[in-house]
Amino acid sequence: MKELSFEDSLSALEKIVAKLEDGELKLDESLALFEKGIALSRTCRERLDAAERRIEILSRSADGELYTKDLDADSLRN
Amino acid sequence: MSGSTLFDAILQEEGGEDVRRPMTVSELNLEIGARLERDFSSVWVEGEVVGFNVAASGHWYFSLNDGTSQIRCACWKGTNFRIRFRPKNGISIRVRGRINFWRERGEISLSVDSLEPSGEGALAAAFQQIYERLDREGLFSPELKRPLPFFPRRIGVVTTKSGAAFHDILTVITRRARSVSVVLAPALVQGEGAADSIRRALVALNDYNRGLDKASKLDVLIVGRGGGSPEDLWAFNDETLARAIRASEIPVISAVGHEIDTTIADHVADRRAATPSDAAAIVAALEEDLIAYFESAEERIFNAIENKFATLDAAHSLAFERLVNASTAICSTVTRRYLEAAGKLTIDGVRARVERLKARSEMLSHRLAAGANATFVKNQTRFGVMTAKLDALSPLAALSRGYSVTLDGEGKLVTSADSVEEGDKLKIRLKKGTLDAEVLAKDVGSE
Repeated sequence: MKELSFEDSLSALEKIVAKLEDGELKLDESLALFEKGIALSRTCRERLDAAERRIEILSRSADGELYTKDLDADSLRN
Repeated sequence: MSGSTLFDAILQEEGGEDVRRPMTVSELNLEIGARLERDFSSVWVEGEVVGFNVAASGHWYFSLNDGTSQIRCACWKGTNFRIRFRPKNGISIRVRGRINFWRERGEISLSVDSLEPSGEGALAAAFQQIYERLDREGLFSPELKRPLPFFPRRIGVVTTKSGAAFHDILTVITRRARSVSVVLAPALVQGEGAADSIRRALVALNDYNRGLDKASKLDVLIVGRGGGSPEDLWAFNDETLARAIRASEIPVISAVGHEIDTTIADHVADRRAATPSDAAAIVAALEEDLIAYFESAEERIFNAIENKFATLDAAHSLAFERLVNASTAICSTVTRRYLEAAGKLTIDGVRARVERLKARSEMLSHRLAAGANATFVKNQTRFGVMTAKLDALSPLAALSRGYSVTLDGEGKLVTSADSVEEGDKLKIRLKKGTLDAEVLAKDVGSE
């Protein structure tokens, strides 16, 4: 299954919450949405936790190509 | 002319064989001009503007004065149209130019190639001019301000690598935003050429971003520097830079100096942060908001489910209560008597029916507990039909059609003339109210 973007996950989550809060659903439908909503939120939060931060610097090669290379953040603190 | 002749004669005499002659003024001026223009081909001078004048030709003429010395300056039409700031008398400016020696008149002037305001008065005047021009063009219009991305994952920063601004931004991002990556586009942020350097870094980040796939695109740019004097921050008032910020495809947060410093960049950016740290905090806050949103969404989902169970529980209790009440009503004395009297249903028959209703109610409770709302609704309808049927058999329904019920002195139902005697007191129950009656005569008749 393709991973949803954060934006898409959030709008999906928003819809689930609204439907559940509306209270018009049958219990089994409610439970299905409940599971889906919690799973969606947990997946997004796990993705945030797993994200790896990179600090880079933009450079230009001899032939004018723009690229980035890692910057050692510790070397900046002097 | 005689003096000149004499002078020539003396020189000739001293020159001996090596024929010497005086330079012509033209030769001298040519020589002076060549040396001056070589040695002063690029000078950077600061001074106060005196005698500013725009000629009909469009050239600017003025002098620069530092209180002791003065030099004439000219800024040609072909150059001054590029300078977005118009000097005026009494303000301090910095010019870059070359010395021009006018051979015809033996005069020196400075040909100005670039010019920028310096000192408080000049800076304020220049700021005002740039602000008004861009404002008239609508570059500061609130409609042009783009919302910051929903959740920035990768941000670009334009500032000096070793500056306080970059250090502050990294500190805040590292501490508060666990998933935000940073790309620095290094630029000079003060001194000559700073505005151009910042603009080129901004454009380079946009160029770089255009070649990225969707997942690694930059979400927002922070353009700024730490605190400094108004001259230090001046680059951020540059008009060309302002236009580049407005033209950036990636939304820009300006972060220049301290809270009190407001630059043209601040007016033109999509969002102004008071300091570089604040700009990073805005980005970090978006991540914090996102996490808070997930937490609140989960809480709301849990609450909604709990409410669902509570509602079902209440519906179930209510249904059960109504069934019990209905059963009790059906079993009421009057009904029982009427049914007995009518002989159409035995009391056992009614009881059996109530038992069936109770059983159905129990079954219903089980199904409700399992969450079958549809069954509940269906049963509710069925129950409604059943109670309506029972209602039709109730004495009250018969009374309402105009029949009455006659009771003897002991409250027993009178169904035969045989059971009463002349002179007996009877009670007659009508749809509404009762009558006290006395038997005057009776006719036993036939069944």
